[in-house]
Amino acid sequence: MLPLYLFIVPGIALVVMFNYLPMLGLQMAFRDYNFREGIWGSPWVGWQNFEEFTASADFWRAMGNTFLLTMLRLLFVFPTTILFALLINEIRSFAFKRFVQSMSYLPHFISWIVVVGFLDAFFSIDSGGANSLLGIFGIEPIAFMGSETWFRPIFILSSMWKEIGWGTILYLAAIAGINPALYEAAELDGAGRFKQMRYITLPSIFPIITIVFILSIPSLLSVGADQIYAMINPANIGVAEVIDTYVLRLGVGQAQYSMTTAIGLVMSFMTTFLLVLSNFISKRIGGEGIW
Amino acid sequence: MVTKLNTFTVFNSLLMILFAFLSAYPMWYILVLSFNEGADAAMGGIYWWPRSFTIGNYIVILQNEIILNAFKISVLRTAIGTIGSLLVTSMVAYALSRKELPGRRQLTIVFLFIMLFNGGLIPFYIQLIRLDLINSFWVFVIPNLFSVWNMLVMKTSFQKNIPENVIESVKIDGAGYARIYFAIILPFSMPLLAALGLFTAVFHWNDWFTGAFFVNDLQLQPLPTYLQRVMSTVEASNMISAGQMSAARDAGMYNPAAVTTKSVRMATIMLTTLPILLVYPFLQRYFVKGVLIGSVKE
Repeated sequence: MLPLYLFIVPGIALVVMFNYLPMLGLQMAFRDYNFREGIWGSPWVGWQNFEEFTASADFWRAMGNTFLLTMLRLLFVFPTTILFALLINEIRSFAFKRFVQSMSYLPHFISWIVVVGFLDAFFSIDSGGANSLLGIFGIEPIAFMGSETWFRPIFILSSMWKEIGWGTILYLAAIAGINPALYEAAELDGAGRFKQMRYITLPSIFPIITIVFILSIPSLLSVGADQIYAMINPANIGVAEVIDTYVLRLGVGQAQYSMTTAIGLVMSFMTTFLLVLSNFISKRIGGEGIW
Repeated sequence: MVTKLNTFTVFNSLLMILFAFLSAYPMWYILVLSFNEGADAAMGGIYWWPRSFTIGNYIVILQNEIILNAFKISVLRTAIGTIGSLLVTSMVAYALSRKELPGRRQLTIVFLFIMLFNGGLIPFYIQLIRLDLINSFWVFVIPNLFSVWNMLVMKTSFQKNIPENVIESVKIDGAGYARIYFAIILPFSMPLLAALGLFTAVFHWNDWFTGAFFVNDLQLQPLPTYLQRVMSTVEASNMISAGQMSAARDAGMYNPAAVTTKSVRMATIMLTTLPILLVYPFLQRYFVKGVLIGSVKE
């Protein structure tokens, strides 16, 4: 008979190989890594790698872009998602509601590289739909995809397109759990649909709004390399380069392993700090945490 | 009062129709362009319906061996990756859900800690090099075999939804842990496994990142990674010239001169998206449930 602990052996082996050993690999941040001597043998260099990246203007540019883009994303996607959840909830016809929900969840399942393919098709300077439309009004074609001015709006728009519908699921579930007696009572008191939305629905889902907001704080440190990397090009790199793509470009692309590990170490600690903090706050105000 | 309500209803319905439309329209736009002659599409103005219908773009890409190979890699990694991940992850969830597991608390912490802290991309990359996974098919599968989020969902479900007395009674009949796992835990959890499996499969199908950074061999690139290459004009032109060489056989089926880099790209995008669109109706039955299970802890 197989002992029970055998069932976790593959899982343990995997987390050791792909999670714990890379954590030990973080010491590369304090070494001058070379393949021959490896993680344990390469010479120690103290804080040199950290001094190197903090002195780099490219690093600070990437850091600034990361914060700006994640803040913008939070600012635009977060409230719009709540608004759309409220509006979907106001649809009275069940079939119509299901239809809107089905359509709006779809973008979540489309790969970022395909989304950028859509963007490229629609916004490209030659024969893209957007420029054809502008042409009707006599506006000269704009290189949307290769422009610093248009990168941020396109980033925000594509983030909204992909995630708003999907994000409404949590709120709609919370709305579905509201006691119908509340609405009936409000209706007897003469409250219209706006008033019901304002004084019943919104306050009822306020706790979950707070929790979603707090738990999204750690995501301020990471934009998601697969989204940015698909959109980045030499013409927009000034506003598009974020920490994730910077680490990829210098680490995987140019084999600057030690310096990029040092960046990763700082980011990992900051992420962990924010995770613990946001989890603590979320639990403190009476909500659920991640653990 | 009544008129005000109606204004809102009308406005809201229109807004919601627009919302649904905008969510689906990009797919339609690409579909239309992929069935239009590229040279004609370059003149612009096509939004709703092909103006100069052709299947030439698809003939070109479906004759291309690299793209067929990429399709095969995607199918393989999705199938093996999903089944493997469900097995490994549910095995861990099963063991951790049993109170009699020695050191259960400590082991749970070992798994949960990876949600809190990670070594970052570069040490992970170095580890892939040392394990000889770079430029290997298995880089798509092995690092993704265990998912801590799915494990938590499964563990909660095993504890809540599988009656303890059923497990106890088979135990008395002399069933071992493996029997319980295969004969009770897995069959009882099929809806959950299907839901998590679909999410895992979508991840595998959509992931272009692993192929772009951890694999150089063109023969090992999955479809989304190859799509990223086709987004560059050079690769799309290569496809067209390769298509024209073999196109002699299909003379008359399409006009090779009307195929452009852009129209080939549209067809490639559709080929990459189509499987997702096909499973989406099935996915839908599960995913709302999946998200909600994921958000509710024990």
